[in-house]
Amino acid sequence: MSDVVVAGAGRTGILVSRMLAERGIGVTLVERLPAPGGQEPETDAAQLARAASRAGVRMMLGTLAAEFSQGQVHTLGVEGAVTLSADALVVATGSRPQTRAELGIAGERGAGVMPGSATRHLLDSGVLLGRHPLVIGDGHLAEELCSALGSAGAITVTSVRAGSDGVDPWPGTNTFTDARVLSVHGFPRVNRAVVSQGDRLTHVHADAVILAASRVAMRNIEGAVFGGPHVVECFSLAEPKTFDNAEAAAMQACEQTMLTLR
Amino acid sequence: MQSSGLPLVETPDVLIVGAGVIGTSIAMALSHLDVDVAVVERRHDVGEETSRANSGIANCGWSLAPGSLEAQLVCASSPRWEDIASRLGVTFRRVGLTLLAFSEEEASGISALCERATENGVTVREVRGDELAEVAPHASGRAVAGIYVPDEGVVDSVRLPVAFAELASVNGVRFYLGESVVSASLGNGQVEEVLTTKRRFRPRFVVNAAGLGADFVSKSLGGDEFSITPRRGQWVLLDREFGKRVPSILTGMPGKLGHGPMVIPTAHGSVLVGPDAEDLEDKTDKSTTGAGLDDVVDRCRVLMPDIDTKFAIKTFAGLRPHSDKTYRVGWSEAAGNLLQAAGIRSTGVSSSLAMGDHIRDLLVGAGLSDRLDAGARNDLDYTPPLWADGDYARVAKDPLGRTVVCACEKVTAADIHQALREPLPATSIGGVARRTHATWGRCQGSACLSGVSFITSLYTPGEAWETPMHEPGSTLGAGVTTGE
Ligand SMILES: Cc1cc2nc3c(=O)[nH]c(=O)nc-3n(C[C@H](O)[C@H](O)[C@H](O)COP(=O)(O)OP(=O)(O)OC[C@H]3O[C@@H](n4cnc5c(N)ncnc54)[C@H](O)[C@@H]3O)c2cc1C
Repeated sequence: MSDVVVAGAGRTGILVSRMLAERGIGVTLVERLPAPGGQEPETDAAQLARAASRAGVRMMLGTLAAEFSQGQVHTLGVEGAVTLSADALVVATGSRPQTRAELGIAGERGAGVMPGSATRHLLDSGVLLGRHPLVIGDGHLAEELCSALGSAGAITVTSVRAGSDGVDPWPGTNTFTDARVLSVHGFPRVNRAVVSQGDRLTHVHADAVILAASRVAMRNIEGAVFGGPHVVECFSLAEPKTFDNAEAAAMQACEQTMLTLR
Repeated sequence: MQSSGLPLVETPDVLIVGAGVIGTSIAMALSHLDVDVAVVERRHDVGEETSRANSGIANCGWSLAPGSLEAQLVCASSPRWEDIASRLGVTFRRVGLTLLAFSEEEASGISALCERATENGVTVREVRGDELAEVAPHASGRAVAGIYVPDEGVVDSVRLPVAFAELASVNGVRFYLGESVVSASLGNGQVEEVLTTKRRFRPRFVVNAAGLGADFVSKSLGGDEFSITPRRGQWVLLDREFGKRVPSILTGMPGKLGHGPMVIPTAHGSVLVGPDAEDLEDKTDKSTTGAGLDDVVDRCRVLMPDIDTKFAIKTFAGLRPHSDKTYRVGWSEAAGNLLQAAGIRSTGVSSSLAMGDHIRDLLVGAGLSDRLDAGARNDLDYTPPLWADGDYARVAKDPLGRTVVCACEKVTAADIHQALREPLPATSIGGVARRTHATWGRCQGSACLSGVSFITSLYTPGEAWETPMHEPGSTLGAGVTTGE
């Protein structure tokens, strides 16, 4: 029997684990966080995880898949340093918003420029990121953060969206469509962003710039960062996040894993 | 002069102004003597200016002007890196460098450069054909010849000033951070009293190691008048995953402004592409420009065509302290007890080890006691971070070592707590990042910034939202959330 390690117990990772186990593969599902469901736990995560366990998937929660080399996955977590042998590694480590370098935002490096994912956690723990935050992004995360910032005490929320087709401004935001942020200014904290719309430049007062634009793959397993032999990528990056999208990504990764194992 | 209001608390034997790689190495060298040393630094942490935004090359001195102080100090420092790195827990790798010539015309300059290296006591050799491919397998196939410099090294230059300062601090040197030198009073051609934004010092000797601010500091202390201007260099940092393809440093034949951009494996395994050189006026302008970054990448692709910007994780810029005279090191002509260690433009990391000793010897020559401090230490108690050796079993012995907070850079909770408890502890999220690399990986904190800021807030005053990112006023948030 072949052994496969799946890294990441978001919806996609749980689904692919179950599919592989149902095909007779020995599957260990390794998750960094103490519970399945990923960074933004979906409501069906617990139920999906139970189904995967019933299919024979072994779960290692609170454990990071740190490195893949020569058929071995090195993990570090609540059980200490554990090495798993694996004929293939399925990388289902989820997604993150684009970074400042990826968005090409020049300017100064003052505080207040925040990844959208961290913003959510900080809001949950009572930190208001800005009184006049600017949120970059078109998708679900950006929409949710605009509304969360508004109800957490922000006075004005500016939304900068790359698209325009059928865009309704989210309630309570001052919205720029077909726009991007060129640079941010202010030190020690950001206080201004330059927004371009076509050839029009607008200087927007912003005391926080939240990066919540398009989801890209989270890649953090040494030796498998950009794929490689015996590495199968399993990312569901489409907006909006739906069960169907996750299942389609899982199914494709499952087929590819079976091919890799042959 | 209005010295009233500020308490006089300090009468050190030596007051060092500036805690970059130069000021901290001087502090470390002096900390082995039985003398009283204080360091004043305007930023909230050591090494926050030029010393954190360089290529981290520990140059072996092959290309410097023979006989110059710069060449002497760089050549004297070079053989010492392995030893100091292991004692201070600073990563160092002697990766070697290959200089590439792309035409026979360019290659005609090789023999002169080889002779210069020999004069500096550095062994290099001309390489062609198979041998070129062997020493620089990643270099462009269009290179016709090269010079191979096996002794060139790379050091974790971001940690280096922290490590120097920590050993100095363990040995009793006092650091006054977040405090600027603003003026002084002179008497009998000597600096008598130095005023900072917070206190007065009456030092016996003053060392000006203020980098970009050295012209202002010299003038304020009644010393020589000279000017320091910022020469910006921009960088693109590429992922460690790409670093596997970059075993050694590549550079081109020197032009009018020096070597031009390079492809540099860092001590930590990532790759730096850059820097360019552009003279600016604003000493605080560390912004990057789209055109500058594109240009750096294009020029490095000549050296290594495979450079792929899909691996870019960060762009940044550093400012070299350019002076009309490079290495303005020595006693001031205007103020007798003022020693300049200024204008160290392009090789301050490389010369730092010998610079500390050189300044110490000048001070001893002027009457500073050379009695050794019998209790002074030579090494630091420091646990290397997980990324330094990838030894999972080692870190798993500590429960905090089992919790990886920053997954991209493999930084554990133990590493972060250590950074906040070291002899010269981090006092900001940025300080933790500099000491551990947490939030510095390819996701730039999207997964770990909240965790890193939470641990940092346990050690910093104020509420969670007030946790500083770096300098005062750089708060994490703007306030507390209001209820739903
Ligand atoms: C792009 C680039 C690439 C480089 N590459 C290399 C390399 O590969 N190898 C190498 O060896 N070198 C390299 N260098 C050069 C090296 O970084 C510098 O030579 C070195 O950092 C200078 O150190 P310093 O301590 O003199 O200056 P700094 O690090 O700038 O330290 C001076 C300190 O003085 C403080 N200060 C200033 N004014 C005051 C005041 N009034 N009161 C109190 N404190 C004050 C500042 O805040 C600062 O912290 C590079 C530099 C750049 C910019």
